[in-house]
Amino acid sequence: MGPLLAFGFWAYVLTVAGIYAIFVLGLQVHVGDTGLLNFGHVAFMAAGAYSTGLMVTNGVPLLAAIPLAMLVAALLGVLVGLPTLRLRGDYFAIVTIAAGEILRIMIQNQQGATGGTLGLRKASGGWPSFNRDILRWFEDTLGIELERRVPLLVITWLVALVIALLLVRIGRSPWRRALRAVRENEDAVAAAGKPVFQLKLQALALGAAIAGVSGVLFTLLQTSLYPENFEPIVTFVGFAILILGGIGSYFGVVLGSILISFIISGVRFLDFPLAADKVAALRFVVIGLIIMAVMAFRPQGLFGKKEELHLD
Amino acid sequence: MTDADTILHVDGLARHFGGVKAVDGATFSVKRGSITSLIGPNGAGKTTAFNLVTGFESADAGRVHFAGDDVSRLRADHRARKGMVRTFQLTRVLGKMTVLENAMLAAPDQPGERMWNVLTPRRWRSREAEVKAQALEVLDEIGLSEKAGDYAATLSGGQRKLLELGRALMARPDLMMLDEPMAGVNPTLGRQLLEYLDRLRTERGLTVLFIEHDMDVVMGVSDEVVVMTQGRVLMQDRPDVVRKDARVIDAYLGGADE
Repeated sequence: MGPLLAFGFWAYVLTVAGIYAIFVLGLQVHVGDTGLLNFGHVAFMAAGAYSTGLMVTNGVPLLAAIPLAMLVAALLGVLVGLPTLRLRGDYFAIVTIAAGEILRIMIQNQQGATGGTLGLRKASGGWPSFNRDILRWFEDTLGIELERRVPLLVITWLVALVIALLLVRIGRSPWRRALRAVRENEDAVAAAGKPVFQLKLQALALGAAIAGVSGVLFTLLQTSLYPENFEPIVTFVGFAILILGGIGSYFGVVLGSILISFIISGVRFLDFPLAADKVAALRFVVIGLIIMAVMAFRPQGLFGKKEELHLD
Repeated sequence: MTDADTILHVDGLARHFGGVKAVDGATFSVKRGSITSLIGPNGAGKTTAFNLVTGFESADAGRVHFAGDDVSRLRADHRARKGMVRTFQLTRVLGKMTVLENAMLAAPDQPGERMWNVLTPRRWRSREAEVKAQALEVLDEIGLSEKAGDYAATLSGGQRKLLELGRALMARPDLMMLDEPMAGVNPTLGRQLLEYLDRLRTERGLTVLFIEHDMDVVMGVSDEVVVMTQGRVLMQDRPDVVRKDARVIDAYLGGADE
């Protein structure tokens, strides 16, 4: 069976899509809800991934490591936010992209702890054996032979669903109203007596914790972690998903993640008279074209509100 | 320095932008329960003084006492929570939110604005209903109830002024600081608003400090008038005294653009 038809491959792509969906749900909290132009979102994913990996390789059980990894990502959000959130939007964007790179290069250089460019092996701790237990249980009890990637695929999308539902629920709260107000005009929010800085810091921490979850799942999927997994392009793929899905729409994030992941993975099956590395680069050309097409023909994205585009 | 009758006392407030002394040692006070207007030619430093008093800009020198407390070092949102609420000359509406949401935002004491309460609506749902009812009431007073469900960005300039006023009222201020509230608002509605503010003064003891260029309005409603020119306070007195003062007439005649 060729890779195009291999179920395992598409299970992998869909799992990546789910991880992106979670990652971008966090970005939506920053960009769509609060107006924080965060160009360093990948740092929070890296924080979730590497803190999981470092904890489990040092003997912390995986289940205990997961909430701690979220906390680490949230704390990184606070750490990045404290000195930068008073900056104007575009300066904040520049600082966040730098913060993301600083973290990645630190991970790369701390070879003793992280393995540097050689990677952090066995970062998923007890997951592979647990996964085997799940597969065996299905085979023994239900007589179903599952593809080995299916359990993580299901878990990933369940987590994405839970996070999306929680965000929808949060969406009805006065807290989110205050965040949206911060997005619209900080002065107005301060004049109304609301603590703008704390609101932004809270939003940053929440979105970072969600990105931390995506980092945990990424660790389970890949087993080994490399600094190059967390290059700035990951953030910008996230933005492509956000733009395609529609800024402000959680459902758009989910659909955008699936579409973009399939495009990134699908490009490799196109038969171009090009070297492999050039075909790999082509996927970013395709993403760029998609963003341009969305901007030209459906600037609000698939699920954004068109009427909001012309308001200010 | 402050007594029980004074809600706001500003002492030696200064703010320089490079070589420009926008506010240059301004001193004035506002009596509790009064309607006080702040007048002066363009560039006199009125709006900058507002920004310094409310904490939207930081002062180079001077003190701001509000309700007996020194608030000079507090952040703008903290000063607002203490009861000093302002509007802006150039309106700051929340364009992609509805008119009703704009008003509801400013209501104080909403536990649902705390992050850890978001998933427990029973802690804030009843307060939210109160806030909504109040907001609809305020929108009715300012003539925007029909617009409640519209995006604020669709409002006209005058309507935005009204919405800002409504939002400020929702914050239940002790001192309301209005920066040219009548600009762009039709005169009939403007008069109604003044009557409404006057009623709030009687009912809740609201104090109003406002910047205004229309001298008929200023002289008609103010208990006191503060006159600024070139970053300083020229005088502060009753309207009938201010009107006759030669220095004020001079300052205004000097500012030919008024």
